Amino acid sequence: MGFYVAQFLTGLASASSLFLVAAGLSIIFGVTRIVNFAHGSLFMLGAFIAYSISQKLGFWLAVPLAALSVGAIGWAMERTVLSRLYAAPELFQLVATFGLVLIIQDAALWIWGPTDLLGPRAPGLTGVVRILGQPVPEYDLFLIAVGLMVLGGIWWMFTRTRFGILVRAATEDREMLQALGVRPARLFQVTFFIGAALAGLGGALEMPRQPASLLMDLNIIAEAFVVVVIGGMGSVVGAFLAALLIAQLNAFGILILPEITLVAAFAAMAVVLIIRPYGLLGKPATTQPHAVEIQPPQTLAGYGRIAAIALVAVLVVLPLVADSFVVVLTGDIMIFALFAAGLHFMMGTGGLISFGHAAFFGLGAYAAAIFVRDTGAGMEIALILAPAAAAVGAAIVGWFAIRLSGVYLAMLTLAAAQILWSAGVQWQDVTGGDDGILGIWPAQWASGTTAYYYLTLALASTGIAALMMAAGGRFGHLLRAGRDAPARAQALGIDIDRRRWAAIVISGTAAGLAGGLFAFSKGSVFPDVLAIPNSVDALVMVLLGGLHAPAGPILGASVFALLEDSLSRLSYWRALLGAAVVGIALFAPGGIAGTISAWLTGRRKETA
Amino acid sequence: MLDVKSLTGGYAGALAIEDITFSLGASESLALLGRNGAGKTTTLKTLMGLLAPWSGGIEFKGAAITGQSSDRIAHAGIGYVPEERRIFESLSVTENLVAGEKPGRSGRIDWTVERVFGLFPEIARRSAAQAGTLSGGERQMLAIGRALMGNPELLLLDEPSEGLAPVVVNRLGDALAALRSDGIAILISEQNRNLARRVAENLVILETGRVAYRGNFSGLDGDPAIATRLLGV
Repeated sequence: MGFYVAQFLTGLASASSLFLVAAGLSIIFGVTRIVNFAHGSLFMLGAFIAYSISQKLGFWLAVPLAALSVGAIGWAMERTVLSRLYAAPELFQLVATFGLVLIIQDAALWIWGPTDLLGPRAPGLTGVVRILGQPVPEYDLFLIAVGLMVLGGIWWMFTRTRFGILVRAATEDREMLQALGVRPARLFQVTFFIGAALAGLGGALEMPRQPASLLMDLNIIAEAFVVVVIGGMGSVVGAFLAALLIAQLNAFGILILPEITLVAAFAAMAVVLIIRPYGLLGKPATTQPHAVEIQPPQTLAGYGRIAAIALVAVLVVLPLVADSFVVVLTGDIMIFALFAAGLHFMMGTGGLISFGHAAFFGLGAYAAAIFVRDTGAGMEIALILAPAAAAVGAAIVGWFAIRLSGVYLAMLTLAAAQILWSAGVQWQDVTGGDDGILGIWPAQWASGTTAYYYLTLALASTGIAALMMAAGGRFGHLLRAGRDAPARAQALGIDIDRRRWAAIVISGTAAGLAGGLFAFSKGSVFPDVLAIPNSVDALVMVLLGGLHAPAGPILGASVFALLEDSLSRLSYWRALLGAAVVGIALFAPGGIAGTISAWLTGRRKETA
Repeated sequence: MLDVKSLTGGYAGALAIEDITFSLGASESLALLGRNGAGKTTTLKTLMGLLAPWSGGIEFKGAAITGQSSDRIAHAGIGYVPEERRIFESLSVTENLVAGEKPGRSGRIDWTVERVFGLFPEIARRSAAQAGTLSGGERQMLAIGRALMGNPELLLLDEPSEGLAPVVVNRLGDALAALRSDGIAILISEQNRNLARRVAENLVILETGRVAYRGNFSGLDGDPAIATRLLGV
């Protein structure tokens, strides 16, 4: 009995920091309608900053000072980047906060270095208390108290202060509140400060429990997303309940089966979403989607078609004239162009955001690799299994996702990818863990560099052409209708949800095929293929090329690969990528293709 | 007090009002009449800064407010009661009023929660209730009270009678007449001529986004043909 009580208290203590992060995320979303992907980064900064301050001023000063510093960083983030994006489409807001994740990640690497930093323990709270004979760390009890105090404090602020009333009013109807004379900018700044400070506090309080590390940001954000999805976006009490639920699932799940904890969180989320699509205490979003500029259908016409044929012709001739390095590089670019084209199809034509597309790429790669390793059978079947496995994965994620709006989809895909990545690392019996799966080579006939290049060319170009045709055809039109005017499309009798689901599955299938091709191209599979950076790469390719240009993914993948080839040796390559992502969101939402075509149209108008 | 000159505007590419011109003297009131879709709501939204004017000018108390953000327009001294009321449903009645609280132009504070409750005892009785549970009439009173908490000199009322029982409309008329005698200027858009008449002497009738008639209620009463043609009654 005592053991279970102790385990329960441990769960409560973990729930505290999770709640601090999720509450901040939820408050910020409520007021600004922005899902701040960089919220986990603020948590991580809280841990690092608290560590640094504690070296000079000790633990008890470090915690509040770190929270305030992170609050200030959140405020600066809002001022410099996010405040410019309130009128932008949701996608670009999400993408910009995602870019901030990469920048903060590298900034932390630059300041604190790659090694984990274990902070001091809390003076005065280093002992244990015996509860029913079981030792419970005093610090855990302190954390539980802090969680409850913060919940009480937020409740007090929301109900007893004018600021809190304004925050709640803004959550409901920002435009009306502004018409009453409340300047949103001020409200947003204060909200960001408070939300960020809560994340920073959560990170600082982790000091005695776990070392500050560069992995903290994405780990906590994936968990916090699960929490806010379960609790209901914008509901602080919901976040509290959900944090409790997840933390207890973790605390007790680990007793039964260590591997189950990841799956348990996801399963809990799945159950909640089926019963209450907007979370335990959430309400359906009442805000209208932003008015979007209507984009032309993504068809290749005129010069585009000629360019496509010319490109394929060049690619066919390439191995005859180029050396093997160029051939291998080009093969890789084609694989990533296929991966990006799948994502582009879903995001550009479908308006469906995926921040975890590596999940499907990785599913394809692992499906192929596991099949080859366990059966010894050949590449041909594996390359059919790869997209099939990814399609199944996409169908499962998509089934939950289509019930929800864009931000939920982004969170869900990120959480799914993070969980699969954890499985890739931890489920050693099947995936080989960090050692990966080796010796995944193509069939005899395709084993040469040139032969595999042609196989890649055939499959990737077929895949990309099929995606383009789908985007430009009837299916694409219906998807676009669902993207630009969902209510009207539904009123016309178009089953948008079914199309969206299909789009996610198609997109996942393309990613899976790319993953399978990638596995045989490298001869091995490691958990990297499932990791967040791989998702980010695909996202950057799509945005770089141009979200609404048919050639976007090909262009994006090519430019990205060339940049990566020349720049990835730089130590802070990720930060550069992040800055590029933020820059595209702020200044060139059309990407390369969009910017060029806007420039051409402008010139045509001038000369006319 | 309010000078609207050749105001033209609408929604994302769809013209809704064109060349609207009218003015309001200090403490004066004006009724904006017209059928559904005539442009009454668009006019008020554009005045309030919720829609950007395409062209034309708006002056309030001698200063141009054209194209300013709605919070600045509110601070200039204009209170807004939208057609859908748009009360904050998850907040209590009192909290709704607190959300609208701001001093008037010269720092004057004429309105308090107590004074609003004095004007509308109906919502005073439900001060702690969630605003989402209020009836239509109570919602309208709350929306007006919330606008008054900002100590406006001009009140924009968008079809306050819509969807309300005659007895409630009558009650609103009493309250608006009391506000008039307090010296608050009112620009009221209405389809209910009897309510508009209790609030304003002068009127402007809009038809398909343009000013079709300008005058006062006694003039309108003397010309039933106009009323039939422009208002359909």
